[in-house]
Amino acid sequence: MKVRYVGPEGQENREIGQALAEQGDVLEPGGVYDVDAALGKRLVESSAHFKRVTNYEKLSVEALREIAAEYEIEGRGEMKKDALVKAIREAEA
Amino acid sequence: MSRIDGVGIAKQTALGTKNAVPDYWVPVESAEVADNPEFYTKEETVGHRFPTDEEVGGRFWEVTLAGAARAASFPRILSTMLGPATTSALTDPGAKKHLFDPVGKTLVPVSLFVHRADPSPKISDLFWDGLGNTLNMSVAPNDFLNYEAAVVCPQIDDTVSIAPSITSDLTRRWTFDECKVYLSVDGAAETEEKVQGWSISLANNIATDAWALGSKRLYSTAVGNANLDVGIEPLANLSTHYRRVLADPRNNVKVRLLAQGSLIGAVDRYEVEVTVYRARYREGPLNVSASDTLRSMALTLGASYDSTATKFLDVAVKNVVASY
Repeated sequence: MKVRYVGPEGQENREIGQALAEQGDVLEPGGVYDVDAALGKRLVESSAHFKRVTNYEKLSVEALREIAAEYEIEGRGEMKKDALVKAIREAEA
Repeated sequence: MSRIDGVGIAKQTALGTKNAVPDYWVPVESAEVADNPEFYTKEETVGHRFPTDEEVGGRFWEVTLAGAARAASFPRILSTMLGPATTSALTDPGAKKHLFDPVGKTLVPVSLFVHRADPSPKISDLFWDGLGNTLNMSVAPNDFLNYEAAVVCPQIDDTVSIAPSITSDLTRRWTFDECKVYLSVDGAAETEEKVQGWSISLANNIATDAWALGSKRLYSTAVGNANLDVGIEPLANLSTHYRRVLADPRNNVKVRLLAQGSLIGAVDRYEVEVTVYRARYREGPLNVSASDTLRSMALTLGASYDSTATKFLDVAVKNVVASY
């Protein structure tokens, strides 16, 4: 499962370091880490700085609008699918 | 606690809404959890001489975090002590200054995730609706810029079952050699003072007595009056400092601690700057002792509100975090 780290520099996670040997413990802001589902779930649940990397193109427009509402993206009611996907990705970064 | 334990701090959107997902896992030396229970019993004529059951009444928690201030997470702790920061951009790309000034601000409520990893099964609590009660900051030779922050939390969720993956904030700490203290007396120009130590002790006096019928949790907490003491231990000009202890009328002193660390980019540095705008010398004993050489004196100053500057205390942190 892929997770994206969106927090500040200078944070370390030992479990990612152990799971991804070449990666080391230090986290890169904006970095995507492919870890097993159990670890990925725990990362997302226990840190505001980890987000699930979802394939937004596969979701319906209504589902995207709901996600956009979580990020309080303006104009989400009128946006088309591509624009919604782009706005959500930007909000997550 | 051992090194594998974790303390997470998360900003709440509002009082009443807990947040179980920490913004930062803060490395702490210790996190003391005081649970302040009210026990009650009644002496009654029960036909024997042994006590009747003791009941537990209201309970609230005060969690005291102690550690060295870290560049990324320290401002989150400051936000519950002093209110939200005013963030401005600096010169280097990504560098930001977060200024905490409690005048006219409401403290940011926080949830604290306390995770003890040694026992099996591990024990986690989520203390929430927390408001900063006391903040002590201090720095002395051969040590870091340390803090001790006590947060009063009227609520607990002890059913949290998230097994956290701890993302430790290992951003820089500030060391004693990076710290300087400046004094400005009665509005005169600031001069650097060589000191053996600097400390502040801020109290928000959170009221924890609003118990109501129908619940064992506090009905509400309230932020009380603020008090602030400053401690400095000068190594020079001892007789000048001593005269200020005795001076009447009082001198009004502005005290500034500047902890200036490494460069962020080309120009800006990781910094903590604490300014106390108006303080008066209160204590400064100078004793004679046959066995000691008198080289420093421990001074305590009491702070008050500066009506001209409309300031009491402010703390500015420079780092690379976009916002809090």
